[in-house]
Amino acid sequence: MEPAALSTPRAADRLRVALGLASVILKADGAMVVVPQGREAARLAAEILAGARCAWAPAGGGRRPQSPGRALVRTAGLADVLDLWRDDFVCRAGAGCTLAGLAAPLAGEGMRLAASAPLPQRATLGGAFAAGDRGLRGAPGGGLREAVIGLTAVDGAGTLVKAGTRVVKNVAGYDLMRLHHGARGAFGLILDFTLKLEPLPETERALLHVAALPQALEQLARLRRPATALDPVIQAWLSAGALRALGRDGPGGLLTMAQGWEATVRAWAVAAAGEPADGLAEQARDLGFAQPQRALWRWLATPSTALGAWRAAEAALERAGADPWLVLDLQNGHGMLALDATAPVDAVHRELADLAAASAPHGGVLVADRLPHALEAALDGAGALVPPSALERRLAEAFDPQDLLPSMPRRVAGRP
Amino acid sequence: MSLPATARRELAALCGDDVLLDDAVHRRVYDADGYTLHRIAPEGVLLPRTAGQVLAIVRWCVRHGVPYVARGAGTGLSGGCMTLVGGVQIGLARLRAILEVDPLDRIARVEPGVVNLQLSRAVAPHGLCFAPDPSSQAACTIGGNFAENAGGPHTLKYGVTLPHVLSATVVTPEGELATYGGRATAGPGPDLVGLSVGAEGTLGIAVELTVRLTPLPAAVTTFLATFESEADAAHAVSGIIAAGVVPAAMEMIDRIMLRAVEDAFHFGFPLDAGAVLIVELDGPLEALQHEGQLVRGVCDRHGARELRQARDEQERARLWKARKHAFGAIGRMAPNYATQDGVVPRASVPRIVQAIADAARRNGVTIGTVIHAGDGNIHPCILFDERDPAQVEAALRASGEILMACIELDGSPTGEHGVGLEKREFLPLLFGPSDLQAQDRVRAAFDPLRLCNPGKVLPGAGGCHELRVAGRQVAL
Repeated sequence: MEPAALSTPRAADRLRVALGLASVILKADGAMVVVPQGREAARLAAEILAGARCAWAPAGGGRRPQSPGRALVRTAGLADVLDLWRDDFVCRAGAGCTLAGLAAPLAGEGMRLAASAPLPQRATLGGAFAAGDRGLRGAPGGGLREAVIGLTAVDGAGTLVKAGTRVVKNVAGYDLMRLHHGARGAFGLILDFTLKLEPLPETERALLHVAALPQALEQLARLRRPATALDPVIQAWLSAGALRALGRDGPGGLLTMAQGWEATVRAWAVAAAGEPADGLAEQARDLGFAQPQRALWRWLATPSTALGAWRAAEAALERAGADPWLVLDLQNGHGMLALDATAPVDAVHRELADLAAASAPHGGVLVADRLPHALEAALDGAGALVPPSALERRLAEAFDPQDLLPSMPRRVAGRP
Repeated sequence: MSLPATARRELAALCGDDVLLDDAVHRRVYDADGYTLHRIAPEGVLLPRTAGQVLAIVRWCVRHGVPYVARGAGTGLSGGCMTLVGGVQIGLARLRAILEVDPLDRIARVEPGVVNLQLSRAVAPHGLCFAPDPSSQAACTIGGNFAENAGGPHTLKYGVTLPHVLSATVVTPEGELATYGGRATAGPGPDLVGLSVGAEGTLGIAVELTVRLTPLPAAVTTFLATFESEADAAHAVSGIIAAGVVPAAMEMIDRIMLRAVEDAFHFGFPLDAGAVLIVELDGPLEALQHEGQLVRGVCDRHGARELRQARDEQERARLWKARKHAFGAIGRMAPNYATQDGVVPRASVPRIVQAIADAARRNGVTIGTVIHAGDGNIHPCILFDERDPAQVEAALRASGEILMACIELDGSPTGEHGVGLEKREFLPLLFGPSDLQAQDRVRAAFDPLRLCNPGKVLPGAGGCHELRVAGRQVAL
């Protein structure tokens, strides 16, 4: 990769000729933003950037700032709903379409995309998929990962690659869609998605049971019994810090949400007997993302893992001054851990490494999600983040031979 | 060709005397899976008992440049476990331990040879099940489900195997152990476990899987709707979902298949019907009552002449037994049958039904069809007699025409049986050259030596057989 100072102006000139002046923005600090209008323009942009050996990154709604020194290829010009096959409950939409932007027209048809992501007004389909976002609402088998049945992407060499089809079941060939899921653009820019939709439920209702994690899990076990009949679509636990950040007190809280037919949901709410919490799920989903001073980590930990590891980690992170907020999706084992980014790096890193080590024997993983660049660089320099595996490197080389695209998300190394 | 004596000695030293089968009889037993139109005997069959033995065998294969193919219960329907370019089969049926069940996390950790239905039975006391339920679930293994991304009637609501696999510990094609995924649903990082699901064992051999368990529903009710035509039944399928109901399953059975199933099981299917639709609802009882009314209304609007509700669990079980054994039932009508697997958008089911009828007429063959109608996933069963080359040719031609029709309707040539060796040459009709090259790059990254189930999934991988499909010469 050449220095950005050399490659960017060369690429900018070619891009302006190919895409038009309005599609290429050079900022005062020399950074370049490309906003291709349409699929072919996006492919061309990638090809030109590859030809100029200019490092670049896909950019969606800007919820996770990309590292400096890269040209950004924004998907704002790829934000249309391209097709809606009503009888099939399938649509095709540009990667720049926001989740909220897609929800509105679908709701008008009695449909929805069964997926959520933090800040849906800003979260694009491409950004949420590439980040491996799940939000809280994605029940098992019902997140964006599972809703995508086809996509078109352009790789680091500017080649268009199509994966999947528009049918909901398809096992023809390798499932290249999975390669892009969670890879943060390491394999290219996704241009559009074909998505499986579902009927809009008649109603939904959320409940909160204030409880520390062990008691919350006992409560969850009771809620999961057949007496309550409906398996809640959201089963999440909010730590004491998270609850406090949302204006509520307690040692933690079990947040559940049921959806379905009005009578069924009403009966569930009566049986579950919690504190009404409509709106809390959305606040919890966005927690951390809405606070730019927070460093975000993804803690992949099931209830069993969390039960064994969280209490000690929470106390240690508090002692380290990180003021931890944890929102843990108990069905999918996805935790969003938001820490005060201004806390002392060494102390926080030590505690995170301990958390990673304590989680690992139970399959838990801690991944850097949204960190200030200086913090990420410091952690990387200290060897705190695990480099990609040999297989991951080979896969990246296969789709980005010049190493122009961003690196994959990095795991926190457990302290031995 | 069987293995040379030196290979036999080395493998016995690695795994013991009872792991290798390479006499002519055993090699014949393992020369095909459920796709019997082509048979290729492996040079040897290895039946390891432990993951360590699988690792040792793969390392031996890598060291000696011997191709190898994993095999589950052999219920696959696309020839995926055949040793196309020579080499050995590694059967995983002896790795059949359920290692862990965690009701709180709703997961199970299993060896690949665990039978699908056995897992569901084992976790039922916890109120859980393993949701993917292929028709072969009494025999097929979780490892095979993983390799093929298996489906089944209930995937309409619960999805195919992909969302139910959380992690896979695999012996990589280079002979290392690696774990993809964890106990949580895939999040940040390339989704290597998702990529491996449905890769037909070409990206490694799973020796341990962590799978998601699904709560058993509070209540279940099953309807049998009778229609004058398949088109009416198909329109009712779309109408039910548009009404806001996502049934656990919606299965269509055509007139020919109905006759076969009725002859075999005496359920009382209406033999003069154009098609029947099995609609299964599950969930809370109040919801089922409401949804049952909606289903009834939709079926009425689309001309159903009868909507019969299973009276009790026994009747429901009989109905599903008849459906799940439909392929066996139609096997009574001819010496051989080939089960096809294609997918079309749900709204195109009436058109593919017509295409199947046209293919049957053009080629002079009998085809009975069951359809996972909610998913648009068709399973035409083409009857033939393998002793008559003309009938084999006609069956293959009809089969190819149906799959071509699926692709022309924006569908896929396979929804759950996999590409195997049967459908490789259909992939260029579905994907462009750059798409297929991208898939090949993925394969090369996983398997630079190209020894792991070579010749499968992607087209143009070479081979020594030829077959006519849809009037085209296709290399197998």
